[in-house]
Amino acid sequence: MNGTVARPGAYRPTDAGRSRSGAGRLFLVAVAGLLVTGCGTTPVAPEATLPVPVVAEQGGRIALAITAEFRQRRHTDDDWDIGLGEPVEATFQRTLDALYRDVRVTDTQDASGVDLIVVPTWEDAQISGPGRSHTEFHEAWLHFDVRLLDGEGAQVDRWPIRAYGRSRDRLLGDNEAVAEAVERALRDAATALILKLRRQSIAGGRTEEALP
Amino acid sequence: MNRRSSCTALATVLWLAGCVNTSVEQLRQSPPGAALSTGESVVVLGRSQQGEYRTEGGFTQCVADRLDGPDLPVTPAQTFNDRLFPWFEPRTAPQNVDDLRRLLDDPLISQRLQQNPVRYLVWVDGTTRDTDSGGSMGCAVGPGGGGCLGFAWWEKNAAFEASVWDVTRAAEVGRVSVDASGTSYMPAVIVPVPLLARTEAAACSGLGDQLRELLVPDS
Repeated sequence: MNGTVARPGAYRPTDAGRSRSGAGRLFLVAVAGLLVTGCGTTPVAPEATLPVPVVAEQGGRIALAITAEFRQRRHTDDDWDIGLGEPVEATFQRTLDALYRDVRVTDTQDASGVDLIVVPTWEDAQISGPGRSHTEFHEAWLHFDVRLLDGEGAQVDRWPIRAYGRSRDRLLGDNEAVAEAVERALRDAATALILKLRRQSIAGGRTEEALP
Repeated sequence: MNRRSSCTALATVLWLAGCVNTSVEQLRQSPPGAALSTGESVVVLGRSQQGEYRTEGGFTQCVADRLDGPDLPVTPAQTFNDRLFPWFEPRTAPQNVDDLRRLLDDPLISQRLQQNPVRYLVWVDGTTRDTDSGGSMGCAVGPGGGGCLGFAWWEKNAAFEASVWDVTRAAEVGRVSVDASGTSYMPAVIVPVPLLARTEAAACSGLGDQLRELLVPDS
């Protein structure tokens, strides 16, 4: 098992205890906007911080197939340049480490020596901020297609993962807010992956049959 | 009172001058259990669902702060969620006490809960919305300075419900709901002066006080 403990207090207290006025907030945002005009695209590096899942470890030799294209995936728009591939890879790996005793990462779909291969591919990644959504939140949607291959390379199952995360915007801390939204989406993706693999195992489905 | 004190008092009055109407209702569904044992605590969680619905974390934190005390220790929601990951995430959290019973049937989850016993789960569900607004205000900046002129107002409604579960009995203890509406004003003659209605804060204190009464009747 290779999980790490998430940063404490990721859900930060926000405005409770004081009211927020639309006009007052607009005024402050306008002032802040004048101060930071011309900054351009900002690099953001979300981290894969997952707690250790409370799940029973299963047997089986599992491979996580991650291509270079998957690992290098970035989201770039007028405001942000966000490295997504590496934290997603780390999230998938830590999740599988918690579920299975023997997990290795490979860049191919070669099934030799393993019982099951997990092959995630990117479907979509969208990031939205208050300026676009007219809400008070930064939001992240991460969509994957996950295929399971057996020891002979044949597909035994396939499902989508639609992960979502959001965080409240901060007057002078947008980078942290965007990173936090992505990190919550990663946590949601890990939850979905655990549910899918665990349900298959409990149901005695094809995934379990692929294991020894 | 000197001039400085007068200014401070005036500013305080203006800051608090928005008005809020709050109504709170409590429904007790089963007699409260015994007082918390040593080491037991309460957790306040925001109701979320698979998809994009989330109860605002700042509000649940405010309620937790309101409840927290020597007679009612509160475990932070993030600590609780991390300790039981992934079983209280938006797509996995129990929706009712039957779901909670099923969750506790899992020996790993049950064992983890017993390590840091949580007696009560308080689920907070709701939102604060902008319900109406009006007026107009313009601001301008020139070589000689700047300023604003006009008048704006806006109304907010905070509607939340808290459901309290007794984890040891896997039963719902009661519900508390709060509905608060407030109107804020901002007149501006050169400098905008916000007269804020603390709608969400009023909802938080109303909900927190009633929850405390439900959980610690003698407090």
